[in-house]
Amino acid sequence: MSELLHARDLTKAFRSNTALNGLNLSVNEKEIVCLLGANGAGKTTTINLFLGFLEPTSGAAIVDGTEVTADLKRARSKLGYVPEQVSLYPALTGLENLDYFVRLGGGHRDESHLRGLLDRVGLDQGAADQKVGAYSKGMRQKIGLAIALAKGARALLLDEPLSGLDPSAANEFCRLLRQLADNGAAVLMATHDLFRARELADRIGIMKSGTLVEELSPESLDQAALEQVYLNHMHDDETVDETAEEA
Amino acid sequence: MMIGAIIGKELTEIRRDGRALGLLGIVGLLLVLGLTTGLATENAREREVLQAQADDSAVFLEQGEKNPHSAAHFSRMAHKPVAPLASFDPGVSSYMGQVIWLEAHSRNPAMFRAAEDAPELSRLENFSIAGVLTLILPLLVVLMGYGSIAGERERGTLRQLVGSGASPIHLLLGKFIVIAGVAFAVLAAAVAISTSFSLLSLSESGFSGGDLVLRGLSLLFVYGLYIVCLTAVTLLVSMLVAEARTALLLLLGIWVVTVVGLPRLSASIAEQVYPSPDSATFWEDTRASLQANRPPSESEDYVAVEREVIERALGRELRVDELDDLEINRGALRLEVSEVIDQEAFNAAYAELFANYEKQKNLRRMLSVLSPTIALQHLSRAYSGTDIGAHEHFSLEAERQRNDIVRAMNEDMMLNGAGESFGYLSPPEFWETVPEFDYRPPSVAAAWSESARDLTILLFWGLAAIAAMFWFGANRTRV
Amino acid sequence: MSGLIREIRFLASDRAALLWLGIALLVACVSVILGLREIAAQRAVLNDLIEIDYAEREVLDTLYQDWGDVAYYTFHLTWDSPSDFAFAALGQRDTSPWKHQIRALALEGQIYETDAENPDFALIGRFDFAFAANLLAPLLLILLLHDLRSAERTAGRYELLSATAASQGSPWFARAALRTGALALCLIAPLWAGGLPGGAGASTLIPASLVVILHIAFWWGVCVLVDRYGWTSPVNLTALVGAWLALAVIVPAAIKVSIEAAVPLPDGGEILLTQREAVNDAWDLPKAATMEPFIERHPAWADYTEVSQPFEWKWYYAFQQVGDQTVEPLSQAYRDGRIRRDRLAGSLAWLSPPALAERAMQALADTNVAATLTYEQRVRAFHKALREYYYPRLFRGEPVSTVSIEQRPQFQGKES
Repeated sequence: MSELLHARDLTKAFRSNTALNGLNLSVNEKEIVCLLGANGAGKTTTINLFLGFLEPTSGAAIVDGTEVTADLKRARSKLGYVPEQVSLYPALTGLENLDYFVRLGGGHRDESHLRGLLDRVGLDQGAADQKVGAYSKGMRQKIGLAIALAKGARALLLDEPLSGLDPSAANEFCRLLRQLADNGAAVLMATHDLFRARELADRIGIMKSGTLVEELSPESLDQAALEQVYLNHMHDDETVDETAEEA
Repeated sequence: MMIGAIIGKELTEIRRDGRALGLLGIVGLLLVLGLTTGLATENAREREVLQAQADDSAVFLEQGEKNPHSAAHFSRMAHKPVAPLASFDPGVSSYMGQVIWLEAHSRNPAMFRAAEDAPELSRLENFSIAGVLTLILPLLVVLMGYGSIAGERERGTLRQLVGSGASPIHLLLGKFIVIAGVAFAVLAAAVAISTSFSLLSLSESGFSGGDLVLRGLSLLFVYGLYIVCLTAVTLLVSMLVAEARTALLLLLGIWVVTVVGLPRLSASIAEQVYPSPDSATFWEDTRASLQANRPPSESEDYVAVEREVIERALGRELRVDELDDLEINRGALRLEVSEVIDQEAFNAAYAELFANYEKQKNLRRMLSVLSPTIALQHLSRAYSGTDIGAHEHFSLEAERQRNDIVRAMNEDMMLNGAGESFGYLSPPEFWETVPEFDYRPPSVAAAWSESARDLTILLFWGLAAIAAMFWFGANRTRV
Repeated sequence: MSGLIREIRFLASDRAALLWLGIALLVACVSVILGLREIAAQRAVLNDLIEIDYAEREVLDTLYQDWGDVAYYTFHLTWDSPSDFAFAALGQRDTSPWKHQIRALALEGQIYETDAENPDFALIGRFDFAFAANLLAPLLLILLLHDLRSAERTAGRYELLSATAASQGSPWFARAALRTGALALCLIAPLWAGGLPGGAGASTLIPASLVVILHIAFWWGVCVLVDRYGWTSPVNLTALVGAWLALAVIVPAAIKVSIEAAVPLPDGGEILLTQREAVNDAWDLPKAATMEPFIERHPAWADYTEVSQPFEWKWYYAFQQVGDQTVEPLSQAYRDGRIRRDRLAGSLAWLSPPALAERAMQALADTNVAATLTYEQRVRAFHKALREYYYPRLFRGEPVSTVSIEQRPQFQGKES
């Protein structure tokens, strides 16, 4: 069982505020780990550190044995990333967007392969040739996932991918993730949807004020335990939102 | 590969975005307007010049029996031919006299500036292709590029692209190629069309087709450099500023200051630091130095010039004692001697005038560190053959011509009018032996060396802008 | 009042707006300073020249015994002093002559002489207040006003603000009015600060300020119009800069080209060539050929047309005058054409507010085409007076005397 994502004493401080404090976490292949926490708990910071958008204050983010700060390019080549808002070029079609992102990631896939991918993530064949300006959020998330798949990413980082999706779209998306994990991917997903996390994850990390306060297995979470987690950890922190610090 | 994908995507976006196409259409329209007005004005002017030259020639040749000195007062007009690419950049041609009167005793300034009878509206309306390109190319580039990085950042696509392994440098390079490429295509079309029109209307004006093509290519090169500067600065701002609208605001502010404001400001400053002499003072000073320069008529210097003038007229050396016994028209000798003596002072006065223009130009060059538009204006006029340098060349050649024809007339009277004083009349066929003014404008090579410093400045601007863009791109790209 | 204070606070915290206002203030100050210096330099040159002019004439007046020589060698400076407001709009003073040294010889050869000013700068135009206020200021106003509504829209406050405000336009109106007013102040304050000590009175500064305010107000109107469409800031900005290009550059260019096509002028070279031919031919023609047309216009000297010597001064000055007479129709057509062009430009300038404002300021500053033509007329009148002074002395062969010389007309600079 290889360890694809590994955070070792990962710490990120913005001036006075420590957004992430000594995180130790690993995600293995075929495993889905959900990070749960309120806004400002450090989930997005963790993902940004893995992607190299931020540099750690101390500690290391390691992707499939490569430390991100040491070889950003190599680390990124193994990562797939689906943000909360999958941003696409509205003037291009779904297929063109996919093709563009794949090429810019340094890869190349022929059209039939790309169409196969869109099929695999459940996008209608008709939609692939429409400009994405008219896409629903669920369709955009699918393109986002297809982009990650196309580059053959072994580790997927997802930042609140489910927020704003209607229940059936969210269901379908989760099913897809499970499939990918079963095929060997390591998935790290930030969310604040307790119920989805319990359904989907192999492990759940609870974060609060930049610290991983608890690691749970979904089986251990019955209704009462869920309620407890919610009351203890899921209300908004008083800390500054790290995205605000970035900007 | 990656660059190709970026270029393809950017072009697709431009193609599918109606605004960008509309903008290109407007720029195209302006260029056509600039070209037609340029061609109309320059063609009319060229016809006028040719007509005036023919008239002048006819009047001179048909003056019949006449005293040559009287004819030298009437003399000829030297008409400045319309510059090869004046339809592209009319430069200073409207603001410089077009005709020099090659009168005996005086090196005259050029007369008749078209600008004096032009209706005054604001001076910005001096519409030409060069004007459109310098003023509007920046807008085209800014509008295509202000959102290229900032907009992707706002939409979140930048984050995704970088997250999926795209290199910011490649992204910059791809966008750079597309924006600069589109602007360059507009430029190339403008230069190609106006160069070919000039080639078609290439007449007796003394310009060669090869020279014209080289001028066109030189213009393409310097305006291309300008585009490089503009694109790099635009992308740089788009990269460093958080939002696209801020980038646009800032870029337009930079445009107002550096393209609209600074060229004028630099001219006003240069004029105040090195004021041009006003004509009254210029002539006052010139008259004074002419006086000071004239040796007394029995002095050694004077006699030396006398001897030189006679020897040149006779085409042989004089014996030591021959001077006093020669059968020549002494009045004509005095005239020619005074011409030769005065030339030096005239040339010194004009050289100083042109040197002052050059000082003013140098000051503007220094200020072009703040705005590449200033260096571009110098280069554009130089390569179009419409700058002060080209005018100075014409002025010098016209003076050479004046010296030649006045000498021819003086020598005729001197050698053939002995004893007749000012009653001597040249025969009607004499006028045909007075050389015609056959003006050969300088080739583009002269413009190259004359404006080498402007080119260096513009090159420096281009390199610095590109270096800054890539350095910030590599080190400071925010996602 | 509290609303105004709040808006001032908003403005004070908007760094971009302060930047544009700062640039406006700087540009206005620099333009006023440069203009004042330019006018001071022109005055200094004039003072020197006038002094030299008098001094030289004093020397010359004792040198010659013959009126012909006196008239031939004596130059008279004529000039058009800059008005006290000329610093703000230098206008035609860089392309058209404002001083000539005139002799009693044929005038047409003298009146088109121009200064040796750097033509590069004439092409570029001067950085004067008129440029700052008429061409730069609208751009700065556009940068200031383009996103009043769209910025709030982008920030998501638009609906809230509109709903809260008592009347639909009021918060925007106050905000825009403040910015427009601040910009106008940044322009007008330096104008007054430079103009008052420079001698320009309120009678020119007030109308000039009015021109600035009206012109700026026009552009405010354009901004309001564009803002109505509810586009995003970048689209607003693009549209407004496009409007500036159209009104400040393209329309004037089109006007200029069409006027030049509609009102052709005689070629300046033609005037000179014809006059030169007439003067030159006279040397070889019988004397009567000169004296006849001269007497036609100057019948008073009909009894003095006898020329017995091969060279007589009266004949010389007569053929100079006949040279001028020959080109009179051309010269008049040239002048009429310029007047017609200027009139047309004046009417068509209504299509381009920046051009209109420019012309208004040049008119206030007495630096427009009309002023140039007036000066030209004054030179012609002076030349005429000079000739009429010399004719009796030349034709009657009077001896040169100091008393007589003291009666010679002097060019009078206009009252400024």
